[in-house]
Amino acid sequence: MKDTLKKVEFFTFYDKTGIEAHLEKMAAEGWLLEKMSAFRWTYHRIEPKKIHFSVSYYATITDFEPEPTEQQQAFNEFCEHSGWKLATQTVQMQVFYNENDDPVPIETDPALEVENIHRSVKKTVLVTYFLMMFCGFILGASFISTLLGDPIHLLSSPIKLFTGAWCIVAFAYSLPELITYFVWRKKAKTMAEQGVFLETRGHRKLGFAIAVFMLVSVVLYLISLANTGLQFYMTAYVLIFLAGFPLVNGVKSFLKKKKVKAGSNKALTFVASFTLAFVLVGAVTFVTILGLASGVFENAPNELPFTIGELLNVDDSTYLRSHSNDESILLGQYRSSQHPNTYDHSPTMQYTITEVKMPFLYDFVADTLYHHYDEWKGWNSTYEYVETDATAWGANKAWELYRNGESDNAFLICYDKYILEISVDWELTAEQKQLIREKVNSN
Amino acid sequence: MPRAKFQTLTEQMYYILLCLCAECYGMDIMDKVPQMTDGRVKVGSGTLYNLLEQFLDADMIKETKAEGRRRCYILTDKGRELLDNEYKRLNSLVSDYQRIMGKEDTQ
Repeated sequence: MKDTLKKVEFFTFYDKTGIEAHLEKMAAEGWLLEKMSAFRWTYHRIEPKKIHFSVSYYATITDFEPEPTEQQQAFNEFCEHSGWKLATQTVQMQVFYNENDDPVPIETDPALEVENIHRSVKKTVLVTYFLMMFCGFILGASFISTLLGDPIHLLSSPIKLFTGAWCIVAFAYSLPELITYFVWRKKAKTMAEQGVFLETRGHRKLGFAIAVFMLVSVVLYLISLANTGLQFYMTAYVLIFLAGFPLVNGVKSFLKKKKVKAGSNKALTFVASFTLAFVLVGAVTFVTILGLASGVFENAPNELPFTIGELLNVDDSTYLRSHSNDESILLGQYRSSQHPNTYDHSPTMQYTITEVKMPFLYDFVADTLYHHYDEWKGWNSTYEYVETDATAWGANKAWELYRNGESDNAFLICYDKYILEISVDWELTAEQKQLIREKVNSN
Repeated sequence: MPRAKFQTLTEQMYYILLCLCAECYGMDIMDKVPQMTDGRVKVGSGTLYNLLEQFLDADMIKETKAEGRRRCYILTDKGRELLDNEYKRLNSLVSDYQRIMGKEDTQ
C-alpha cells in the first residue's frame, strides 16, 4: 500500500477557504499534506481523522531563504503555542493543521487577514495575472483579427494556432481570476468591518480545464509538425520550456541547501536561468541549422505535386521554383510557383492546394477562397469567379476567374478533400486538367 | 467607512494592550486574554503576531527583553495614552446608554 500520494492541484493562490476544505477532506480520507509546489502537492498516509487546517499568508517570506527566518520561526512558535503545527509552506503561504476539537483560529481579525492576503497576492500572483491579461488581450485580439481577415492562412499554421490559442487562454484565465479577486476583496473589506471573514472562491475547475487544454494543444501542435521536418526543433523548444521550470527550481533548491543567502540565491538563480535558456536554445538552434544544411531536416517537401514540365512536356529544369507549406490539424496549404529564369515568353504557373482535414470546415474554406478577390474590386481591374464545367476537371465544383470580363486563366477547383487555386498563362487542355486532378488527389 | 488605524481599537487590540500594561511575553497574551474575559475574547496566534508587529511599528509598545525568539513587551506612553483614550471612549458609550435608558425608565 502506498504511503505517499502526489496530486496535481489547481487552487487559486488566495483561495484559503477552498484549500482548507480540500485538505480537511483529504485528512478525513487518510492523507495529510506534506509538501506543496506550484501544482503538485504531496500527502502522506495517516489514520483518517478530522483535522482542522488553516492557510496563513505571510508577505515577507521569500522563496530564496536558505532556512526559515527568525520572524517565520517566531510566527510558527506562536501558532504551535495554540496547537497549530506547520504542515508545509510555499512562497508566502503557510499551511497549519490542528488536531484539537475546537481550536482558536490562527486569524481572529478578518480585517487584518484580508490585508495580509492582499499583501501576499500583490507580491506573487497579481503582477503575473495583469501581465497575462494584457499580453493575452493584445495577442489574442491580433489572433482573432487575423482569423477574421485571413482565416485559411491562420488555420493552416500550427504555430499561429498554438500561440493564438494560448494567448486567448491566458486572457480567459487571468481575467476571471482578477475580477473574482477584486470583487472578493471589496466585499471582504466591508464584511471585515462587521467582524466577518468572507469566504474565498477560486477557479479550480477552470485551472484544471486550462491545464488539460494546454497539454492537449502541445501534443496536437507536435503532431501537426510531423510532416514539416521541424518536429525536432519545435519538440526541443517545448521540452526546454517544460524543463525550464524544474531546472531553475533545482538551481534555487541546491543553493538553499548550500545555505546561500537569499539575495545571492536570487541573483545566481536569475543568472542561471538566463544562461540555461541561452545554452539550451543555442544548442537546439545549432543542431537544427546543421540538420537543415545537411538535409536531415527538411522544412518543406522538395518535390512539387505537379510541374510545368509535366503539364507541357518541356524541360523546366532552369525554371525558378518556390514552394512552401503549412500544415495544422485543421488545414494544410501547399503553395508553389514556377517562373522562367529569363525574360522570355515561357509559360509560368502558380498554385495553392488547400487540404481540408476537418470536413466541417470544407464549405467555409471554399467560400472564403471564392470571395478571395472581392476586396480587389476597388482597384483598376474587377475580378469575378464564374462557374465553369467541373466535369472537365474531374471535380465537384469549378470556377474560372475573369478580369474585366476576360478569362484570366485562373481557376478555383473543389475536389473532395482538396481545393486548388491555379493560375497559368496559357489555355489549359482537357488532358492537362485531368493530369492536375490526378496529381492533386494523389497527395 | 473604514476605521482609521488605531483611532478606535478592536476588542482584540484593546485586550492585547491591556495585557501589556505590565511586562509580558507576547506568546502569553494568547492565554491571558481569555482568562481576563472569561473566554469571551480569544486572540488567534497569527492575529496576535501581526498586531504586535504593528504596535511595535507604531511605537505603542516596546520590547523589553528577548529569550531566544520569545520576546517581552510593555506599553509605551503613546500606547498607554491610546488605551486611556479608548477607555474614555467606551466609558462615554456606557454613560450615554445609562443617561438615555435611565431617562426612558423614569418616563
